Amino acid sequence: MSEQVKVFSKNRSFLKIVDKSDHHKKMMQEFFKKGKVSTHHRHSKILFLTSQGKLILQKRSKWKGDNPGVWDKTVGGHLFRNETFDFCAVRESAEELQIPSTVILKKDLSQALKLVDLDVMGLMFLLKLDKKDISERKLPSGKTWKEPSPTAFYLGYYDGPIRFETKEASGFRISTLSEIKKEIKENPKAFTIDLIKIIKRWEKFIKPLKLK
Amino acid sequence: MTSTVELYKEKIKVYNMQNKLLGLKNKFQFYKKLREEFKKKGKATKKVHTIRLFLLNKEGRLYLSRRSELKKENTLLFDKTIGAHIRKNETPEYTVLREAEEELGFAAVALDKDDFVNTLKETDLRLFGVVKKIETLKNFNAVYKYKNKKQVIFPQITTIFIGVYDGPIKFEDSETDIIELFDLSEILQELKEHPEKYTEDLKILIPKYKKEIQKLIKLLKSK
Repeated sequence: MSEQVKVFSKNRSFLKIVDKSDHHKKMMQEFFKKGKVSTHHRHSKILFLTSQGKLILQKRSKWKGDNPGVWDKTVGGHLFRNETFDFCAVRESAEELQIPSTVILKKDLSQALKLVDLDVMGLMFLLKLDKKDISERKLPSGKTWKEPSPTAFYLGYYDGPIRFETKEASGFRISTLSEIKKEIKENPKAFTIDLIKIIKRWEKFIKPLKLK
Repeated sequence: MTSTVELYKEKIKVYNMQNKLLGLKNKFQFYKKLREEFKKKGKATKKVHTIRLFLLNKEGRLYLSRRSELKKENTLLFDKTIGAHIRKNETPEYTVLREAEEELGFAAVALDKDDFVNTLKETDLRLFGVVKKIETLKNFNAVYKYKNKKQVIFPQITTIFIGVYDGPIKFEDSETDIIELFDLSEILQELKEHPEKYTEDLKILIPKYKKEIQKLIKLLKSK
């Protein structure tokens, strides 16, 4: 089944609904021809931590067109037509790693933690809706290309089981921030540019939950 | 889940080199002595009984676990899906089931012959894992590497299992930090190209059981 997404112009007005992979190809071609992309999609990107503050990362499967076989944030994806950023975050978490989750306000987190068993479901909150974010992707050839993409960044917490859809992900890991930072230093190619940026930008949030 | 205190009390079955059961020993004390013996004589003269499981998903890809930083031996190396010692009052079959639950958080059942095949065909493999014993190796040399490049070789009796599971996984303790799926051809190539990333176990056992794994993949594809 083809996935339909909304396309926006440079000044963020809605243009049309298109097939995701077709349009993606067009964007990439435009980038390599002109050095930039004139349209964009919207994304939700989520970094889930365990309650101990370890990062849950997915290994992108070797069949993915962009960034194949490298470690990435927990989940992320394009907003389908008629989707909100929040719903996209919930859908991607369920689809890619079968993490049942919901989005709450950051100020409600400690209250929500009293009700929700993180072994059973994940909780996430919006870190920032960055309308000017740029997503940088690496192709199997090693070439990179960039697309402007308004992105909602979420931070989540989850301690439960994970099942990966093998077309999307070929594995997952649970590691401490210091382990990941060390590996990024030694072998940055093993990680998506996205993940490296997310860690740098939101590092101060990557810590264990303080349970009251 | 086993607590740390319980782990220090863990009792395992110990055998002499003729495979005669000597009795139950505290695991930590036993290994301390065994390492000392290896250091002195260059070999160890007592055996433990272990299990090793090679698990596939329903597409026939092999799950490998990476040993986390908490493991002193073979640290950060990719290894078989599950490995464990047989404890007091346990059969190898029971050890596999216990360890599947304790390490990766899933329920499994050990079956033989037709039951194994029928279960693969008729049940939802997202709900539980199905494993089958291949054989027991009476003289297996387990190689443990340390960060300082030194290694020890401990003789073992080891029972090899193969199985299938397609459901969710949870690292119940912190002994595993990565789980990843590999195609059989991919892992065989990887073992040659990047041997430093994998345990000696994999280098011996994957080629050894290649045919068994291929047979199971064929069965899964025909499902």
